[in-house]
Amino acid sequence: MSDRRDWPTVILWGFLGLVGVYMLAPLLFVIVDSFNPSTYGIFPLTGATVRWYANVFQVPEFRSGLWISLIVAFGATTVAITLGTLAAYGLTRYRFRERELVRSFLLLPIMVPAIVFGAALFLLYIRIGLYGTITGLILGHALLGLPFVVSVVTASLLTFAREYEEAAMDLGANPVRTFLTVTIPAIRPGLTVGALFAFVTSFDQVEVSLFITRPRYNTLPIAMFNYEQNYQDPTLAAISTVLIGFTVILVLVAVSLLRTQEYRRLIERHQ
Amino acid sequence: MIVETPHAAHAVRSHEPWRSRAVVVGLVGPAVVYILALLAPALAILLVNSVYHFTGTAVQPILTFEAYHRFFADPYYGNVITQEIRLAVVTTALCVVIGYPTAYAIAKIRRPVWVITAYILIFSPLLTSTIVRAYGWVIILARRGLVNWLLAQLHVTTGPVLLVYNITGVTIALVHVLLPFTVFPILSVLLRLDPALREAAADLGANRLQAFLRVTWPLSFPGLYAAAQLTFVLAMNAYVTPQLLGGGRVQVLPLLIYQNISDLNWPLAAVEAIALIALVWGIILSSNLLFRRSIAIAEGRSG
Repeated sequence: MSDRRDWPTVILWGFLGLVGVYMLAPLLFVIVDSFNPSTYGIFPLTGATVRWYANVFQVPEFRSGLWISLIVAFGATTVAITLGTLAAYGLTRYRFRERELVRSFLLLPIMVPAIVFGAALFLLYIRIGLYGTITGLILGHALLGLPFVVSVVTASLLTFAREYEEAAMDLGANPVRTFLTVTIPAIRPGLTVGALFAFVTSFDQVEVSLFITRPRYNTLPIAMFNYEQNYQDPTLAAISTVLIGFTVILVLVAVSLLRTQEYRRLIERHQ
Repeated sequence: MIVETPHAAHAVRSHEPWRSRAVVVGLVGPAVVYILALLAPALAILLVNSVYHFTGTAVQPILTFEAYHRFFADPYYGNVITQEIRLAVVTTALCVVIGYPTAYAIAKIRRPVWVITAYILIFSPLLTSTIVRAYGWVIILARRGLVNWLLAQLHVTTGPVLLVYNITGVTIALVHVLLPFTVFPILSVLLRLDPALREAAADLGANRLQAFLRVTWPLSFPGLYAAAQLTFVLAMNAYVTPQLLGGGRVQVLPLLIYQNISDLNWPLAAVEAIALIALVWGIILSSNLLFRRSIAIAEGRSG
């Protein structure tokens, strides 16, 4: 860490450690509780069982929910990253009168409470036949991911030296080709983070899905939300542990995907 | 709020031959149209519902302001709003008090392994569902959960402490959910600060505390302010955490909106939705007016 070993620094590291424990605690104890033989999640554990994991497969809503959630998250990510990247490019590379207005407007979806957006979307969807459909879910979720994509990709475009784009065009590449072969590869880390945000936003979405999913065709979070309100046994801990496992794999893949150069850039910000 | 203000001069290219309004519309248009097409009609229908009549079992399209009347006349809703603002303010204050030193510590880390570890620790909970995290807190804080077991083992308490299904549990879990959103804007401002400024302060005879108070703190204030604002908005709009950890004893507008819709009382839910949005935007706008001067000063100094 730092070269300093005096007491304010030591206190600061200690504090950071405590915050780390606080951030990890609920996730760790979900994992512990998934092996809890007691139906009511009582501590301390009196043994270990895997029957809650078996139970996960007994709940059909979890299995169908996982598939629906994955399909919707992929769809929503595709829509959000496409529209968001184009918009971010327009916002950073062109000067136009309404630019600040458009920039604020694109952040609007996160300024509307998700529960309000979900309720409003339900009223719209039952009128236009999108209620309970995968398309309806994708369109709703993509809207929530869009502001994150615009923010992250805009930041990425601002740090990327435009001289490369100009060089490509001076050498005869047309704007579309320049965008695809120069800009996109250069902002790849921003696109990855933006896509990750959009995916997670959709995959974990509760408030909007609550209104626009049909009973028995729920997304995974809604199935879990209903389960938590009806039963309190550690089945939820078991499926949560599986999801945490997915997250760990996701983080490991992300860390290993960081190219040496991007890794260095992250580290450099700390020097 | 999330976007860093771009440096206008750097962001604009003026001489490319293919620059035209059509290109801008083609790039920005789809996203704008998409938001407009979905958000505008949906919110409009909800808005219209606020002036409809509720029979007790169904909504009738008869113009009436009874839902507004009920919302403003019944002191219950005033109490809910007070409770919600208190929850959001306490949560935001805790997030800032914990988040600022956290961001400061992370910004000071030099060894690459620890940089990565700190980022994973603070930001990876964002990748797990709020439902999973809420469930984790229930396990830890329940009557017969981990904390009460530990307290009993240590003979600190005689009976179980009620930490969950009340405002305490909601606050503990909400701070956990929102802390990454507080840390991130502060961290990115701290990492952009020129280390030469602090060195200059040291050369001019300032000790570390003085250098922090007179250089780092004022320069990082805009980041802190943006972080606090974002945290407050997210706390006011939170639904899952108050629902799962409040046990029905913590009432906030997002919960009331859902309950009223379950009872098919769309007019009242619509009024509560309008109240929630007006409340959050009103508080954000007035705090912006209040803090405009200090932000301008800080940004002037850093620029």
